[in-house]
Amino acid sequence: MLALSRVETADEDFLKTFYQALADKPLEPDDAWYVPIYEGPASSTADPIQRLARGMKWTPFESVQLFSGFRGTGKSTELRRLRRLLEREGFVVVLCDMKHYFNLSTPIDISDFLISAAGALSDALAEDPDLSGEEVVRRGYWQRAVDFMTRTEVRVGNLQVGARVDDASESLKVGLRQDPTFRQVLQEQMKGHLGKLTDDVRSFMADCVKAVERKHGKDAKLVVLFDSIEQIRGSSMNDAEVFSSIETLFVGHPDKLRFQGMHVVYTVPPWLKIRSPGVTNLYDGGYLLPCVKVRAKSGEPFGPGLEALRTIVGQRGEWTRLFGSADDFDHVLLQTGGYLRDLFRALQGMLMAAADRQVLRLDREAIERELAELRNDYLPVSIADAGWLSQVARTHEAELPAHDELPELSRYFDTHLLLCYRNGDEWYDLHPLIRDTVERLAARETTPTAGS
Amino acid sequence: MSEPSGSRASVSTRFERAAARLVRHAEWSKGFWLSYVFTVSSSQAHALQRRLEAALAAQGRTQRVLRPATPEALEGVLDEVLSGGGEGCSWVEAVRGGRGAMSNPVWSVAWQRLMLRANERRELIRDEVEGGLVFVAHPELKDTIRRAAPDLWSIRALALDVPAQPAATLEVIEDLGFLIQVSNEIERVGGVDAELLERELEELEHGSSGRFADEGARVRVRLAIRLLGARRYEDAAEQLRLAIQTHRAWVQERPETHLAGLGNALLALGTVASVRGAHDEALEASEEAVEIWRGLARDGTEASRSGLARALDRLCAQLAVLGRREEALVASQEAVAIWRELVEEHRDGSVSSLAWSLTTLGIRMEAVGRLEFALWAAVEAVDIWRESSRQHPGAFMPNLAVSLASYAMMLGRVGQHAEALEGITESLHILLPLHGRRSSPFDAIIERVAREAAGAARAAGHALPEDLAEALGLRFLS
Repeated sequence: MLALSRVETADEDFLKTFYQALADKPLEPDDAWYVPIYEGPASSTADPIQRLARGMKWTPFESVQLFSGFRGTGKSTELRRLRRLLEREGFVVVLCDMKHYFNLSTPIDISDFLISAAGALSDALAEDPDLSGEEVVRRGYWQRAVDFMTRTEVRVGNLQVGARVDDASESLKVGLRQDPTFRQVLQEQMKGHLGKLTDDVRSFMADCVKAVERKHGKDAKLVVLFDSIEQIRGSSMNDAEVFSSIETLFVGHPDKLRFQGMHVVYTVPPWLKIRSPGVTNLYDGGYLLPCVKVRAKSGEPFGPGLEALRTIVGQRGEWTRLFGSADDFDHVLLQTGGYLRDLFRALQGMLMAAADRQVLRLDREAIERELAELRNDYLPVSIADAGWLSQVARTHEAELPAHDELPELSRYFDTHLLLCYRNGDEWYDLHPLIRDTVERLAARETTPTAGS
Repeated sequence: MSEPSGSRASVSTRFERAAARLVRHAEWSKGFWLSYVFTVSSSQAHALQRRLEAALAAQGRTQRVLRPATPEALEGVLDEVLSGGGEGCSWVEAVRGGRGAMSNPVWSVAWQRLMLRANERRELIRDEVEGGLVFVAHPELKDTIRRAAPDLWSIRALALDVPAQPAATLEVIEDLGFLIQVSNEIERVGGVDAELLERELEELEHGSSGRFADEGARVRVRLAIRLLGARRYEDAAEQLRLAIQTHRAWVQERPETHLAGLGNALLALGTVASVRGAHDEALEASEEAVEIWRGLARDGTEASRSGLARALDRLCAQLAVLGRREEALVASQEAVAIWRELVEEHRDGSVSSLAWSLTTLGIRMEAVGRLEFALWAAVEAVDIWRESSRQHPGAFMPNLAVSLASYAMMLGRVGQHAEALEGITESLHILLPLHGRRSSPFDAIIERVAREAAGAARAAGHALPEDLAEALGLRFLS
């Protein structure tokens, strides 16, 4: 163990600056701190963003691809990178954040999804006149949707009562976003008109494609990235219903989610592929942003992944001043499983511990203590969870034990009890911080008690 | 560098560590940050909130404290958070809900709904809140919060689990002293008949009980004590607030009547608010009560001096709950000095109050590490109860047992294990027959003292008397 040095003012500044540099915030791809981890071998053998871009370049006319990203793996940043990459290739890219258009905690249906998607695109195009600047877009899809509902005599709430089209458009938008009852009634009313609605949305999308081409030239293809769809989830009261609705949307309606002349990416929850293994075959591609791989499937430390993480942290602060040895630092990298937010949180805790202890270098005991604090955020793990998680740890497969247990699987991903890595194929593992706890609980459950 | 062993020391160290983390994080952070605090104790939450407030104030930042009083208010608290903005910090605290002893599903659902909404609006929160946001909840809701708002959870800067602070046995004794005094107050008013109480409340609202508005205030205080006895704490607090309002309105015109009335009502509100866990309101009322009674005590009458001593006892208890130990000690010392003067003036009615006040003083001394003085105070309290019990056999035995337990535990702290065991044994012999017969606070103290007894016996290297060991083994240690 290295001799402990006292912390002086300059050291306190170092600790504080390093701490601030680890704060969670989305990065732009040209940010000084950005490290292109998915371009190299650190996470997988192929860069999912390059794959998505290539999918669009190589697919004529239009394409639909699915994109999954676990929280904290840099999905937002990577979508921005995708946008830059495509823009450099001459595509006109629009990013639609769908969480402003859905109620994320109620079931979604193809009809309200289509209306929301078209509305989101029309809003994005209207906001930026450089994208199209034409009347078709300025008028917006919301008015068009109200016209459609008037024509088809679909009556939802006070939509038909409002004398002014503007008011009705706004009611539709707000109702979809905030009023579950409104959505439910809309879904019911639209059931007999789905074919016509799909046609109407397709027609609007085509108008958008043509408007963009008129503005930017025939080679300028429109790409729409529909983000945040993966965030739709229910509460404990309706989670199964909500998850099922997402599955129905993407498995049951791939044809309706494809628009002529437009390249589309939908962000989908990571569990969709597990629940419906064939779902990516319905589209032109499906890619997942994994965690940085710190261990190979065999359990051996994975050099390129560790090196990428050293670089990421090194951009933000001089970690060699905090850790007595590279082994200590690697221990932290391995224990946080390549999940960047946990790595940053652990390091922040360690920087505080250094300040608390008035030392600059942390010994292993202090490191373990901070990791234990972080572990506490994941506890308690129930016995039932431990059984299934321990099976994943053994097989690296995330098969659903039963179809109705999807909410549980989603929760494991949402809360990072399970992490996903890639070696070409995707594989899953427990968060290293909870491995011992899970194995202990699982062993206790399988050990027969006396007399049993 | 390991943590001190022993649950109390360890809990205290962990609380301090959590507080230090929160404060340092606030000092080091720039822009938006999010933190969760999980605690079962409102007083711990208050103590953390005040530490953070002081740290922010030192940086010229402000803190907005939001303690929703109802589940509906908790669900809607996000709007307040978003409207506040600024570089300071929003502290959203509702240590309610959970599935265990604190069970209250309505609060749990409110937390879940708040989190679902916050998760959906997390980008808005990040954009609008330029400083910190701290959610303070019961630990049993941790999983609910994680599940309902995984995106928000994933961007947390800190999640602090503040361990349940098992009140030290001595502090439980202090609480018991307080509850016994509350019970005495209730007994003084008489038994509470729910139907009559309703009628009285109705009459009061229609004015037939108080032909003169100022009389209504005194009636309200009396009814508040009855409501306290009926465990209708919020109604009691409301009556007291109305009484205070009336007294304030009349105090300029008839200070000789209404100043003392105001002091009493504030004192009662301090008690009721404390029972409800509304510690800020309790502290504010207790502080004002002390101020009023201090002014009145200048006339030197027994009534006003005992009023001041009672107010100081209440203030001491409230400061102790909020972890302000030094200030609590100062209040306790002043209360004891007044009660002692009154006793020395042959005011026999003050003897019990002096004994309780001395018990409290001993505990407060012990809390700040002044064990020698703590023992002096404790032994004096025990002597007073012994004498009172001798004069009025049976009447003061539970009080003697409580003070005796406190004294014995202090003896254990200074290594006099044999004497400690002797004191605890005597205390338990008095208390055990009361188990299950008196109010639940008695049961709680008996169980705690029973555990102390086992430890004291081990430390003294002696066995517990057989009858006691059997009773304890059967009831508490099995």
